[in-house]
Amino acid sequence: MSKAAELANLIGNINAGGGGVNRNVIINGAMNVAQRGDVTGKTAASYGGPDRFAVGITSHGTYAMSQSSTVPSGKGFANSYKLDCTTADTSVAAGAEVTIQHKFEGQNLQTLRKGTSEAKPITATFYCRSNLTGTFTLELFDNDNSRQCSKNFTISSADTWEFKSITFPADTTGAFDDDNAQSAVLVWWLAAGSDFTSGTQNTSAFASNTNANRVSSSIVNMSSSTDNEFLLTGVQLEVGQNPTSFEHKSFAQDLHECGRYYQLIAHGNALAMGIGCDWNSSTAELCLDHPLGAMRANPTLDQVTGGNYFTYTGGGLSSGIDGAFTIEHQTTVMSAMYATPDDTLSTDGSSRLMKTSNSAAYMAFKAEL
Amino acid sequence: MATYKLCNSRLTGELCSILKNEGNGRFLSIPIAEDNTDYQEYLKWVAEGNTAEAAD
Repeated sequence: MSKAAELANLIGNINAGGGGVNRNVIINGAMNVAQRGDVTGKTAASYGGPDRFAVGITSHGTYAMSQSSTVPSGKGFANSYKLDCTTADTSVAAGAEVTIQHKFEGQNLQTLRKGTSEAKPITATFYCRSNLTGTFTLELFDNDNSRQCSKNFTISSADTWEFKSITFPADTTGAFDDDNAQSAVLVWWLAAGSDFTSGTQNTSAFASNTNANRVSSSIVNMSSSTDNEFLLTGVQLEVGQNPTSFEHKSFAQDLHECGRYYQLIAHGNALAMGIGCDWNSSTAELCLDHPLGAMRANPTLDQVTGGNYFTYTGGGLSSGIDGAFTIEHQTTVMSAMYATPDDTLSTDGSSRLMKTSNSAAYMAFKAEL
Repeated sequence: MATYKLCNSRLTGELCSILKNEGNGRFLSIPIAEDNTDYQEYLKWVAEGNTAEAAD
């Protein structure tokens, strides 16, 4: 795109109520933050690889998700989201689904003015790459009002980065709730069964959802071979009918925004987690701030534990913890939890260090949509 | 198969969270919070007629 065209697009979007800084409502669109690390063996809806992008899998193969350094050349990206088929399924069941999803809080979408006479068109742009050429579907689904619109895109050349720009029309019906719940989801369909493809695809305007009308009947089958992979980066969704250049953010800004939904505390051996205290002779209490700031909701404590995975130590005591930590008191900015160390504690409220003591030990806070 | 267990506060003795065993050493300690999606999933599981293990 020429500079003149880019400027014209930006001005057009500003006139439409978009443009400017913070125009991209996607979080972590450059795939720079990946707090969970890479994951394998997924056969159902899961997070893994870059933050904020989830995979949806229903009865259709096994997948690995990772943060990849394969990126489009010269576009300013260092990372991409990689979805890799590790167990194939050549038979597409009626309810089969393989998708990549990005979910939105309603309060972050008010700028779209959806459901009003001033509703704005919305443009999605992204870079994608796959060994599998053919037709894919991108859908914007309105969870609050069960409405959707989907558009198709084609990957023409195998193993080659391609830039895609897709504009969804303004929708004057069905406003997004102004709250912290999921109001919409952007969905890249990579495989779909007849439950989603057997109708007439709804491509021209938002309409009440009919599952059969959501996806192209020509869609590829990402699960057809373990050779198959799909990579994605530079994802932007903005108000306006025009694509503008990707709004790059600092790593710190991306990490902070991701932290509203997920915050990794520790993963690995010999990592300090915080200071706990002896609650009674058998219970250690640990109180942790959510270090990246307030979370979307009171978070779930996501943990991997086992024999002596954690150690409570200090004042001459070093006691292993074998079981799970239990959330006891909480706000969106702080969690108090308890665990049961192997040894007898004092009853005087002594403070001790809580740390990991196994390479597989894992603790994080999760408030995903 | 994941299972749920109720957990009581050591301070008050009242229900404070739900522990979900996801297998392979992975556990979720889920707060009693309506806007937490893991809690919403637990409520759906209960509505389907399931019952969590009682607290210790």
